[in-house]
Amino acid sequence: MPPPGAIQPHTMLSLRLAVLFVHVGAVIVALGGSLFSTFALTPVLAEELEPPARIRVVRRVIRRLGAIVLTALAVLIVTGFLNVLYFGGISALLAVKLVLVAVVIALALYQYANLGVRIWRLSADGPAPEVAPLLARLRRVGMIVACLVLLIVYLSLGLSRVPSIIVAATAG
Amino acid sequence: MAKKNRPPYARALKWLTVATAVIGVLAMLSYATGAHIAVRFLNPHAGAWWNEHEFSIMETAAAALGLLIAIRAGARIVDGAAVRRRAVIASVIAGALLLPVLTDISAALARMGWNASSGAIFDRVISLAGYSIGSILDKVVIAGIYFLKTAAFSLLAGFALIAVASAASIAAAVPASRRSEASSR
Repeated sequence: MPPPGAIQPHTMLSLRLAVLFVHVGAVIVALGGSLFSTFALTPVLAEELEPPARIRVVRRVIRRLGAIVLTALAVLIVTGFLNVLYFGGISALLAVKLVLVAVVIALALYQYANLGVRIWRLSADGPAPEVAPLLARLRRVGMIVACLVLLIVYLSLGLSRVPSIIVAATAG
Repeated sequence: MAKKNRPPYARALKWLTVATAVIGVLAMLSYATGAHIAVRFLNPHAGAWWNEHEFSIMETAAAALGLLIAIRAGARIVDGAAVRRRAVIASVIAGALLLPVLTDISAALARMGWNASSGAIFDRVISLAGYSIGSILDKVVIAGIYFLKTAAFSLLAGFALIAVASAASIAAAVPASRRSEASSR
């Protein structure tokens, strides 16, 4: 017998599955965006573009990626609530995960709505010396966010795949 | 941000948060202790109305409290007065519109327990305070935890709201900056 909250094998077109799909999709967008920016885009920009052109690209990328990542995190919370309602139980592990989610959102807000806005403002007239440390901090915060999201994904696997945790959560 | 330089919306938000907390805690204590009897004694109609609505007032106040705390905390992180103002105002309006739905969802999530330890809490409270006071205290503890859990789930939703509002606020600032960028080229 499948555990409570599990998706039945015959329900491929269901709201439950749609919510789960959007939830996983939002994780991919939030995590993938941060990793691509940190490990692919930023090093290539530093090697290939002159400072004035690089800062113009960085400004645009921060704005656009910020909007995408922050929106993806908000979608994660909404679909996460619906997932818990479908699942029908809260465990201590889920409480830890929710606290981590709050920390991730606060860090992402700091990354894009604080550091990003400051970089945008300081570089309005081209490259400025104050921008370099802010960009370095932006990358560091991005790495922390990515690591925390990976930890959240691991906790989610525990919540949905470890039978003892599932049974404990739904028995309360 | 210095207290004197706080914009009017920030001060209004602070007082709204305090008012929501006071209303929520009063409704929670009234629900837990059955204080509607005292109101009924003074005014039967008002007492009946309060008895009918105190639980939903407690839930709504808890959800609103979580939202407001998240919006205020998020606003402190956002840099730039204009971006922050737009983000806060947009998230407060969206929060007010979504509050009935959010209250239902947060309260439903808060009702889920994570184990069956409430019996142990009851026994412990009774052994500490005696049966007559202990059973009232137990109800206050249960209602208080429900209030806090509802506010905590709503806090997460508030973070989501301020995140989207900040993203929209940042994106809205782009066209003007692009114009200045184009003219500087």
